Amino acid sequence: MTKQTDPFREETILGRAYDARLMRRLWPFVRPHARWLGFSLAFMPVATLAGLAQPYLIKVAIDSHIVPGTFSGIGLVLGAYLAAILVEFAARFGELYGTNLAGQRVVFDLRRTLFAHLQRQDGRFFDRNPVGRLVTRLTSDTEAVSDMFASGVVAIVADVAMLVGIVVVLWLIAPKLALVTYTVLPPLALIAVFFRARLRDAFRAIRVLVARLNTYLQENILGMTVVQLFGREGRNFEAFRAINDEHFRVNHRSNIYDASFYAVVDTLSSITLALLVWFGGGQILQGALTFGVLVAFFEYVQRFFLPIRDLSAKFTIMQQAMASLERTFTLLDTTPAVASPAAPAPLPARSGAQGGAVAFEGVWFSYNGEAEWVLRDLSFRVAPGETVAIVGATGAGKTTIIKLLQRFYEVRRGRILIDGLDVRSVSLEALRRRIALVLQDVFLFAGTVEHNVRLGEAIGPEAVARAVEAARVSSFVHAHPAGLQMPVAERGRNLSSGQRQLIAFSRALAFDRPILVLDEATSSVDPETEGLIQEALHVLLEGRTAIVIAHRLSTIQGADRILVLHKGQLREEGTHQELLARKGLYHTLYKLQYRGQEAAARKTRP
Amino acid sequence: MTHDTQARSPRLGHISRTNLQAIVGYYRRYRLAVAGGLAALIATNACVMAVPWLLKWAIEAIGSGAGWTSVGRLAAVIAAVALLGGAFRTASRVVIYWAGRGVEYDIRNDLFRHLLRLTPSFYDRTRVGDILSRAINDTSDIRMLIGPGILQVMNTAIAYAAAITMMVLLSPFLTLCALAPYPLMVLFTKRYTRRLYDLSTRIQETLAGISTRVQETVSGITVVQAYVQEDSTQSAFEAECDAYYRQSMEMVRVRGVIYPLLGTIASIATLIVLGVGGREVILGRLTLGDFVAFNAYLGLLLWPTIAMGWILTVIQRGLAALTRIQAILATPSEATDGPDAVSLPTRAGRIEIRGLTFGYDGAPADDGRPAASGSVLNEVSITVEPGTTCAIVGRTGSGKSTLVRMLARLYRPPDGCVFIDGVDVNRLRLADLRACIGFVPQESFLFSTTIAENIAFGRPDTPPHEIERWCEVVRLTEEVAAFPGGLESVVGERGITLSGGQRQRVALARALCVGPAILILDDSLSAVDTETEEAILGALEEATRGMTKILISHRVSTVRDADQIVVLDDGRVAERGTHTELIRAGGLYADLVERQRLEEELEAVEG
Ligand SMILES: Nc1ncnc2c1ncn2[C@@H]1O[C@H](COP(=O)(O)OP(=O)(O)OP(=O)(O)O)[C@@H](O)[C@H]1O
Ligand SMILES: Nc1ncnc2c1ncn2[C@@H]1O[C@H](COP(=O)(O)OP(=O)(O)O)[C@@H](O)[C@H]1O
Ligand SMILES: [Mg+2]
Ligand SMILES: [Mg+2]
Repeated sequence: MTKQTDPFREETILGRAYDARLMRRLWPFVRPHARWLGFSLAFMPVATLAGLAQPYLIKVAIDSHIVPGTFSGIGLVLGAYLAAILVEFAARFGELYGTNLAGQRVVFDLRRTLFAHLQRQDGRFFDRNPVGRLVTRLTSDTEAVSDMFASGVVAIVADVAMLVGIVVVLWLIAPKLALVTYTVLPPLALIAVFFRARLRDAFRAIRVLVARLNTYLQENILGMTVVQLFGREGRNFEAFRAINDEHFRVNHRSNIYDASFYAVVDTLSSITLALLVWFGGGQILQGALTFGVLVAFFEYVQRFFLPIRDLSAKFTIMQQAMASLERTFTLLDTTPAVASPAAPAPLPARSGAQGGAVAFEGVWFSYNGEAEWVLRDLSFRVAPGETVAIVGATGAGKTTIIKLLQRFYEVRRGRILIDGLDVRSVSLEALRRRIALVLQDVFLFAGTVEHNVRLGEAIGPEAVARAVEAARVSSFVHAHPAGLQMPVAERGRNLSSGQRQLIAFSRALAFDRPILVLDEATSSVDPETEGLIQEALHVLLEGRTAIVIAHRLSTIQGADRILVLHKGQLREEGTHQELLARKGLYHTLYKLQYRGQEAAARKTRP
Repeated sequence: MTHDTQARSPRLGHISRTNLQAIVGYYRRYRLAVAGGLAALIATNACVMAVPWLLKWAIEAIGSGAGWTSVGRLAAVIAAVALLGGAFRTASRVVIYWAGRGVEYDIRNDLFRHLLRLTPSFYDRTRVGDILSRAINDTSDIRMLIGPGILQVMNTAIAYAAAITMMVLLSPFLTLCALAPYPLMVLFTKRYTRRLYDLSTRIQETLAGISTRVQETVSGITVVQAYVQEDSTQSAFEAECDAYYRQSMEMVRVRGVIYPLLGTIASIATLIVLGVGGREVILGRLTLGDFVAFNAYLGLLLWPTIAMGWILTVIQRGLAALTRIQAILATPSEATDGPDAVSLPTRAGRIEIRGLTFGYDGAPADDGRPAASGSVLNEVSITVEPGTTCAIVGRTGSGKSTLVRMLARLYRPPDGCVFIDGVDVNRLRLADLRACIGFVPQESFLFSTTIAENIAFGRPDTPPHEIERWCEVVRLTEEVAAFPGGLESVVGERGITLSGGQRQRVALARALCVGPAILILDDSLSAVDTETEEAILGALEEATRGMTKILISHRVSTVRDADQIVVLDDGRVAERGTHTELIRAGGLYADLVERQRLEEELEAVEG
């Protein structure tokens, strides 16, 4: 995730099926629920023994009852067999339940931790990580970890216990026949190793392709209107199909290995049977072996190969889990460049109406490295209660100033003060609670208008009503039967751009905070509505500090002071009149906007 | 989304007719492969079934003291049969999995193709996270159903049929006894399929909810952080995870019973054979060889029986997923060409709107409540002659964007209302319609590729010098040159690494690049400062000569030179005319200008 190059390509992951380092890191998540794992493990020997007992009981039945033809006592054997079955059933249920419970709890904790971690990240992080990737981390990747518990790690331990048990029991019953049976083990091991390597490579390729499929899908769904408007359906479909095609082919390759592995194991199991018939038959003919033992061996061999058959499935689950854990921990390892200090300085309490002071002192900033300065040596002050406007061409760095004030990014040089304290010395929460912000890119949540105004905060209905009234949200909400409960679709798609801005505006007003920051907050709102908002603001903003970014003169004319930003530098500063009189940058910026009307006005007023 | 296509037939669990048809339809392309796979599977089972019989002979040979050589010969035959069976098994799996992957491939393509055809109204009422969850998680569940799931079903059926036949051949009575516990299995599985289906559906929905929540939080992270809403977001998220946890545990309990239970049923059959079969041998009604072979056949049923639990889960999960995918695929698309679709006769760019009334038909939001209904546009009539400019102004929410969306048929207008070059847009071939329009939406969405690729989005073969020219027109050249990669710089997701005004200008260049007959600018320079805007408009004048232009803006300076200005008020055309005419008329537009003029006067006085 820290890779500088091409942050949008999914990182390729190694395909190990077990990584002690990752498991150690998982341990803190497992420990609180370890007793459930213990619970599950406690059942394992029981289940194994009950399983091992069954073929042996068949041997006893054949050798002591069926072959000699004695009925007496067979009831006992059958009773024992039934008991073994029931015990195995109960123990397997306990085993499954314990691991799954532990797994689900671990996953729950992991998700919670990941989500909290995500919410602490800074702007740089979100610039680099596509949304789709983060969604994958919290859904598919955690699911893979849950699968590991459900049918991976414990099941493998149980399988291994069973395999070892069978090997031992065979030896105890008939060592010679056991040795013959063992001869299939080395080829089995060789085959497993051979296929594992193939499967791992195929698996790695599949993961990369799945990630590409998902990223492509996500972006196209988000930008579907643009895709359609520009008639790119055909081309984008072809691009998608190409990835899908590759995905298909790689999967086919892995299927061939998978199918062959299964069949080879199956065949090996039958060949073992043949070996037993051949050698065991001879032994029986020599009187060195009983029928019961041979039949028991048949049974054991079948039980032996049963778990090996779906070894490749379990192997895949483990690999998937390891890859997911790797990425999960990589995500958890990203420490945000911006974080609250260990011992934050207390910000003096201030009510909303008292306003707040902001100061930039020699601030330098760049988004990537020190090469491309977006802000250069920027200094300015905003006194409590003052309204300051920032103007400048697009890309001048206006929004960047706001992002730095909110500490979404860290300044490279210089410092930013809020009420006399460096923003880095106070807690993020305290800093952000000082500021109500309308961002240039409005974001609305799916829900209702009221939910979008209040968010999760306990703001009283009157305050909400006042904010909604002032920001003119009421003008379109009142027409709706549900009023403030009017539904808002995802990202506010069912509202016009201007309406979305108004809702974001009323949100900032409802959060009664000392400093109000408006970044082109009414750029899509018509001048009439904007005028009405401004009137309402006069009352509402009494005493508050405001920083206003806008291109429209009508928006900024009421400001106490105007800062003119040019390519990241402060070029002019003063009141509207002062700046006009100076006939500098500001003058040229705004001459244009009103030249038109002047001419028009003259024409219409004879 | 609802899944109203629920099961009627209790025997098949929740295979509804549409689901079944869908699966069969997808498999049709691969029927040869499936038939071949089935044949191979039958051959495999034939080989597998031969082994116990050979075992029986071997044991009988041993019992009669026939000598090691004949036993050895039988062992060799067993090994040979096993090898043959292995080959057949490999073949059957490869072929059937291949078909399964093929179906997955087709479904994914179909889904994407369909998504490309669905109109914005679909995306208005469906959440992105939900679509993604269906496209990603549900397709993989379907894959499990159609590949391994179907294979196991076929294999189980064949294995049962074959093993039972062999068992009957050995001893009908013993077969009857051995199969006695199996009705129990049918009973249990019947009981659990419904629950498995319902649970799977709920779990998939909850998972989609989690993914939607993450998606929304990350997309709106600046709002969450700026308003210090991390805690409330966190608890909402945890509530969802908690629901997921509880549903998953319910699933664990169901599966935890089914899996061992099926194994137990198979074992009980062995127990019965041991008791009853043993008795038969002792009474001399069955040979030891028969007995061992019988046991072996029963053993062959062990795996398919245990696998049944897995099959059940996979099938129910896959069916639930299929239903969810079908729900998308069944959404009719308005964005398709009818059989009588016509090509654009000319490319003059004449627009005519006659008495257009339109409403977003109160499509329900996610929670089922109706959205704002009623009409957004009322009896709107506008004519724009080729090569002229029409400006649209009006209050927020007055329907400006809605109107231009009708032109590009992003939403389908009523028939007989919107005409381009004399043809109803609803009758035009969509590709033609869109090719003749250069649209700059109010929200500029960029793709996370290079700036150059974004500009050439509508015409990927645009030569570099042309891209540079459009950059110049929208005044991006200087800024882009300052980026480390120049035109090849990759912009972030949605273009977040650009400033708002830069994004708008890239979107403008993108629209210009297709060389449209009609250019639509929906408030497309709102984030651009006046000076830059003036320069762009000047350059546009030159570059778009001959194009019909529709300009939406709140800035008088932008619209005043238009050939006609239309003022929309609450979805109706309130005024129309040129700048001077409208000022003379003294209506809404004059108010707008007056408002700005007053300010300007004020400044003149003060300054
Ligand atoms: N996709 C949609 N679904 C439902 N209602 C919508 C949708 N898009 C817009 N609306 C509603 O239609 C009305 C007109 O919206 P439209 O976007 O056309 O306004 P606009 O004139 O472009 O406003 P603005 O100047 O703010 O961009 C608004 O009341 C809005 O809430
Ligand atoms: N997240 C980001 N990553 C990299 N560069 C950025 C990012 N956001 C903005 N920029 C660049 O920084 C410069 C200033 O942007 P911004 O502050 O948004 O300008 P504006 O004055 O229009 O608000 C622009 O050149 C823009 O491309
Ligand atoms: Mg900005
Ligand atoms: Mg609009």
